[in-house]
Amino acid sequence: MGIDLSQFHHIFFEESFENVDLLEQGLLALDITQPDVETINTIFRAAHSIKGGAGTFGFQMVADFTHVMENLLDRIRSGQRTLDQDVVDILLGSVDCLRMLLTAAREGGEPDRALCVAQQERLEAALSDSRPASAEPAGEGEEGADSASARVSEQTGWRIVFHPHPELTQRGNDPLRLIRELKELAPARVTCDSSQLPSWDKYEPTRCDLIWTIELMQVVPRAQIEDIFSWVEDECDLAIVPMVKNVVLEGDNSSPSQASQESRPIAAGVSQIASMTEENENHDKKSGQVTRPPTSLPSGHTISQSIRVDLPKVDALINMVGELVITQSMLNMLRDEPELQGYDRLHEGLAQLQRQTRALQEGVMQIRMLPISFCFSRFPRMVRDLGRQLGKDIELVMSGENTEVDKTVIEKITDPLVHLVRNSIDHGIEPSEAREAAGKPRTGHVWLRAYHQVGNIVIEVADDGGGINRDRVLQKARERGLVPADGRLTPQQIDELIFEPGFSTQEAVTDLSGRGVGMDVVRRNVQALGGSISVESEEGKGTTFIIRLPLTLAIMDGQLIQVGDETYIIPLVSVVESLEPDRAMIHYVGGDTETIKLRGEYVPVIRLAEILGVHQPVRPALEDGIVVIVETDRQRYGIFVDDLLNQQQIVIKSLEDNYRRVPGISGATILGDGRVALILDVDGLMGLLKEKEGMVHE
Amino acid sequence: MSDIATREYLTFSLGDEVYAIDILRVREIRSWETVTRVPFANLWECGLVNVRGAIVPVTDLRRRLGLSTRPFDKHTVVILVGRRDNDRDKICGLVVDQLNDVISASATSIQDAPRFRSRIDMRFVSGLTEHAGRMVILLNLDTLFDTQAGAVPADLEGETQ
Repeated sequence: MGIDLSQFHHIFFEESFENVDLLEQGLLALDITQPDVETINTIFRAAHSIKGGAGTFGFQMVADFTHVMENLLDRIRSGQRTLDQDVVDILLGSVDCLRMLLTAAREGGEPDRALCVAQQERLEAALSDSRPASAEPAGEGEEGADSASARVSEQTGWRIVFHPHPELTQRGNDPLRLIRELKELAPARVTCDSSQLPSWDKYEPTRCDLIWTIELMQVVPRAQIEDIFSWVEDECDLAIVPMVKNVVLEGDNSSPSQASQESRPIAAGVSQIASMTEENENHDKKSGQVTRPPTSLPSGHTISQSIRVDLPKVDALINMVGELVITQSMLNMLRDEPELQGYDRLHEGLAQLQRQTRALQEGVMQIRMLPISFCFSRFPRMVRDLGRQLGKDIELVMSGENTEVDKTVIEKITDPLVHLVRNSIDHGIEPSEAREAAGKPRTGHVWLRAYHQVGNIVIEVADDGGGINRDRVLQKARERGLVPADGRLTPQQIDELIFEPGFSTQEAVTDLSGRGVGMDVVRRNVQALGGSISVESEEGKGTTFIIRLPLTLAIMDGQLIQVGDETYIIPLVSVVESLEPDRAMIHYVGGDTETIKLRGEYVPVIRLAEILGVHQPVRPALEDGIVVIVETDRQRYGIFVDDLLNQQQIVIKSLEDNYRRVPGISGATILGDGRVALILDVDGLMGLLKEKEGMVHE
Repeated sequence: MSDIATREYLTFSLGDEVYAIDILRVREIRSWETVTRVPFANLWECGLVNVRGAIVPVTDLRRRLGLSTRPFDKHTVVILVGRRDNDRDKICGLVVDQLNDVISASATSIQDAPRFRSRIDMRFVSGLTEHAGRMVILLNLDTLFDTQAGAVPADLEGETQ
C-alpha cells in the first residue's frame, strides 16, 4: 500500500495517551478484593488498542512491551491470576514505563531501555508466577488456546444474551423456537427483558423488541450453541459467555453490551471475527454482528461520533458569536425606536434573531466545555503515591466529576488543585498514629468535589486533617511583619493569611510542598480565571478550600442599570430581585448605614453612585430610586441605582487586555450603541464598602 | 549622516506647543468620541472606548502632562498608540488638541531634554528637536502610560480641576 502512515501518527499518539490514562484510571479504580469485571475489561482493551496501534505504525518497543502487559492482564481477566496489590503496582509501574516509551516515540527521542527491560522482567515474573502448573509465558496464539482449556475446567455453563433485531420476526424467524432448541441441549434458565418495548400507541406487533438471557446450566460445546443461531446470526446481537465460578458477576446482565463485557476470549480462531461491542450498542440495523469479545481487532472501540478540532478554530467561532451577540443587541435596541413601531414582522424577526443567537451561543460554548474529570483523573494516582511516600493511609473521595467547565478552566485550574491536594496530604492529614491518638479513624480522607452553584463552578478540596494551626499562622505572620504585633484578627482573617505571598508554616521544607511558593500562587491563578478562593478550617477537624469560578468566560446575562449618566451591568446570576423601597422599609444602622427590611431580614444597601464616584446621581433618596438585591457567596445586599434598564446578553471583555484591573469591576462589554459599559463585581463591591467603612472608623 | 538614523515623528499641538511621538508607535487616529468613565481612575484617564470590539483606555494628554485643560472641539483627536506592558502588547489612546504633520528628524538633530524645571514632568520628554523654525517636544510614550511614574505635580493639581 502506498499510504504514508506517518500522517496518522499524531492520532495514534493522542489515542494512545488517552488509553494510557484509561489504563491508569482503571487500575486505580480496581478493588483488589472484588475486582469489577468491566473495569478489568476496560483496562485490557486500552492495553490492547495501544499494542495494535503500535504494531501497525511500527513502534516495536511499545508493541512488545504492551504485549507482555496485555498477557498479564488477560490472565487476570480470565481469572487465572488472582489480582493483588503487587500486580497492581507492577502494572502501574508499567503504565509509567509505557508513557515514557510513547513520549520517546513521539518526540523521536531515545527511550530509557534499562527501565523498560527491568519493568518487562517484572511483568514476566508476575506472569510466570501465576502459573503453578506449566511454566513458560505463552505467545498470543497458543496462549488463547491455553486459557480456553484452563477455563473449561472451571466453567459451569453458558450465558447467552440474545438480542434479536426488531425485524427478526418479520423475516419469519421465531425466537421461541431457538430458545426451545437451546433447552434441549441443557437445562436452562431463561429471562426476558421487555424494557425495550415501545408504549402501546407506538407498538408494532410484527417487530421484536425483546431481549432474552439464557443460562445453560451445563457445559456443552460452543459450536452447538452457535449452530442453533446460525440462521439468525445476521439479525441479532448475540453474546455467548462462559459462566465461570470464580468471577463475581454483578448487576443486571440483561443487556447485551454488559454481558459481552463480562465475556472472555473463547478461542483464538473465533476471536478473529470479533466485532466491537460499542458498535453493537448502536444497534446498527444493516450490520447485524455477532458480539464476541474484542480480543484481536485493534482499537475500534474508541470510534465514537466525534471529531478532533483545533482549538483556535473553536475560539474564532466563539469570538464571531460574541460579535454577533453585540450586533443582535444593537438591533434589539431598534425595537423601541418610535419610527419603527407597527412593523410587526420586523419585531417578530428580531425576537427570533434573539432566540437563535442565544441558542447558537449556547451551542458554541458547549464545544469548549469538558467534564472536570479530565482534571480530576490525575488525582487518584497522585494521592496514592504521595500517601505511600509519606506513610499515610489516605482515601480520596471525588464527586461531581461530570461537572462541565470551560477547557481553559481545566487547563489553568489543574496546577492550583494539585497544589491544594498535596498540601492537604502533606500538611493537613496527620500521620496515622497521631490520628489514632486524636480518636480519628486511621485512614485520612481527602475530598475533591465539583458542582454548579448560581452561575459558578465550585471546586472544593477538603481534608479531615488537623486544620489550620491559627496560633502558628499568626505567630508566623507577625514574624514576617504581615500583621502588626498587637493587631487583632478574626479566625477567618487568620486563615486568609496563608494566601499571603511567601507564607508557609511548615518548618521543614518537604519534597512535596511548602517551598514558600504556595497559596499566594494558587490564589493568583484562581483570580486570573476570574474566580475566588476561600478557606474554612476547624482545628482538629480539617480544612476545606473552596474555589469559585465563573461558568463561562465569554458571555453572560446582564441587568443594565443606570446611575447618573452612567450605565453599569450587574450579572443577572447575582440578582435576586429589584424593588422600589418605600419609606417604611428603610432603616439606619449607626446613623449612616442604610438598610432595608425585606421580609423580616435587614439588608444593607450600598449607593453605587457614592462608591464608584458617579458625578450626579439623579435620585438622592432611597425611596425615589431602585434597589437591586444581589447575592454573593458571603452575603446579600442591595445596590441603590437610579433606574433599571433592559436585560441582555453581554460579551465579557477583559479590562486588563489594554488597561488594568479596577476594584469593584469584573470586566467590560460593548453595548448595542457601541459604547463601553462596565460590569460590576458584586463580591468586590462589598469589599470596597468595607474598606471605605474601615477608613471611616479608623 | 545616513538615512538610517532618521526617524519619522507624528506632531500635534497642545495649545501653542508642538509635541511629537514616534510614528511607528501610532496605530490609528480617531476623532473624539464619548468615553465611558472608569471608577478609581487617575485624573488624566478619561475613560474607555470601543475600538472594533477591544476596550481601549484613553488618556487626556493635557492632564497627563499637567497642562491646563480646555473643552474638546472638532479638532480634538485621539491617537491610538501601541505599547508593551508586562510582555503584552496594549493599545492606548491619547487625546490631543490638533494633529499637525509627519516630520523627519535625524538622531543628531535631537537634543537631550534639558534638566530644568518646567511645567511638564521631564520624565515624559525624551528630547527636543526643531521643525519649521519651531521647537518640537518629543514624548516618551513608555513613561506616559506608566502609572507608577509621577502623577500630576501637586502644585498643578488645583489648576487642572
